[in-house]
Amino acid sequence: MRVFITLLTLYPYQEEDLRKKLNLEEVEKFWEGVKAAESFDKGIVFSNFEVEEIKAIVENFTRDEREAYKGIIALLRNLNCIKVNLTDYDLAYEKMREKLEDIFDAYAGKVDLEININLSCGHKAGALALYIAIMEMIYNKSYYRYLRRRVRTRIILRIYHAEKGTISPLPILNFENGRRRNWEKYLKYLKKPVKLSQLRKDLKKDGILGREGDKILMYLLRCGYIESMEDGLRLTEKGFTYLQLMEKLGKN
Amino acid sequence: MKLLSTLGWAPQVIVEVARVLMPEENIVFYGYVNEDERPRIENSLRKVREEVENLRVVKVDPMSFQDCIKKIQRFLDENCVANITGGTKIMAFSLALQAAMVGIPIVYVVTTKNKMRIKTLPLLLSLKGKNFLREGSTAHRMLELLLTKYGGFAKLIDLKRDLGIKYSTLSDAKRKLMEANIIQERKEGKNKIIIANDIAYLFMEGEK
Repeated sequence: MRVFITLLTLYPYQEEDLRKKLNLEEVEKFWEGVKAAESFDKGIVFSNFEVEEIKAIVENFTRDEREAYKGIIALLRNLNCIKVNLTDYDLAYEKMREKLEDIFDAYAGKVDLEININLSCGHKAGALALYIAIMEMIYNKSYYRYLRRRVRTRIILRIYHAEKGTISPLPILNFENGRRRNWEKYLKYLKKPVKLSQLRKDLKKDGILGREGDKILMYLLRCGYIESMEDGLRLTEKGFTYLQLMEKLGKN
Repeated sequence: MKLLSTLGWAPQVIVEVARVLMPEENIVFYGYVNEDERPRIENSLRKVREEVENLRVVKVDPMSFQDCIKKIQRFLDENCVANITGGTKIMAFSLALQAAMVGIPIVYVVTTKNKMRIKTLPLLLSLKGKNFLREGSTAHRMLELLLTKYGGFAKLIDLKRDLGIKYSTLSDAKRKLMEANIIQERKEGKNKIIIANDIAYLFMEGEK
């Protein structure tokens, strides 16, 4: 099973020159991504717009833009086009992860699965969300073993940025989405060095008890946000920067 | 705090983050894809210069992972925050992935109805399990040699000789690097040639 996944957007800006330039580039990158995938049985497109919306919006654009999107619209009718907010990482991530789970549940370990992912289109937040969603699928769901060459049913994963004739592969590594933990917020209890017993009391106020507290502590230590000292714990430079960031964003 | 930002056509996303975070130092990476784009980027940079204090600008090739990664690495430390809103995807990915590997926070700006909001991007390198690219591992040594001595292009037999390891150990490291999309292998006659992908520079210590 060969699956091709890409992002796609269109720019509806008022300023014609800028809009036209961006839209023509988007179309070019889309086809470069398709070309790099060579062939596929199943295509998935994450886009800010549904096919009919794209069709309606480009009607008001220049002839060049209309012509450029015409080919894409024809192709999209045969692909699975999913509307996603590509400028919001969290919203995009949730939908993409859901779709990827469907694909992996259906094919991984059952047949050879080749996935080509084009990250050159759409917006950055959406592209990063797709990248992290696929990395999490591979590593957190233990599909990593299927990447090996000597397994009966393989997963071949190609994830790339294709633009101006250059295909740049991205690494397949154990990157993950840290949102589900969000434990950095507890750094607020370490503004000053504290004893472990005090930190446990502070966490307890937030309803964090026993082993959960240990997990948080280990996480903050392993991330390098805090360090042990003789009679307690304190923030590292990295932890201090993180805390400063959260405080400043909180005030904003 | 040191704020590292990638700049594109919209200077506001740099100015806004700098205004809110008030870092001691602002490092802005910029570059134009072609001459047509140059005036827009220069205009954007001029506006950033007007409004952002303690600024240092660094020109990059916005279409090259290798160039972006190498230049960003020089400034990256534990005191940094990364703003990936502007610039090309290659610039933003270079900054985001390096930030995730070092474990520093990443932010981006979402604009809705002309209102800008700064959001964090929860990207990190998993702390679970073994990392085959940890310093001192065969894969890391192989990659380091490939990039530093051979400029990213070497015969497998030369890597084996320099590392002084068994072929099976080298082969295992090579497989892991290939599975991770970090290197490629090509045959030239009887020789196996190992080629580093641009993204391989993520795993090397940059020149400070």
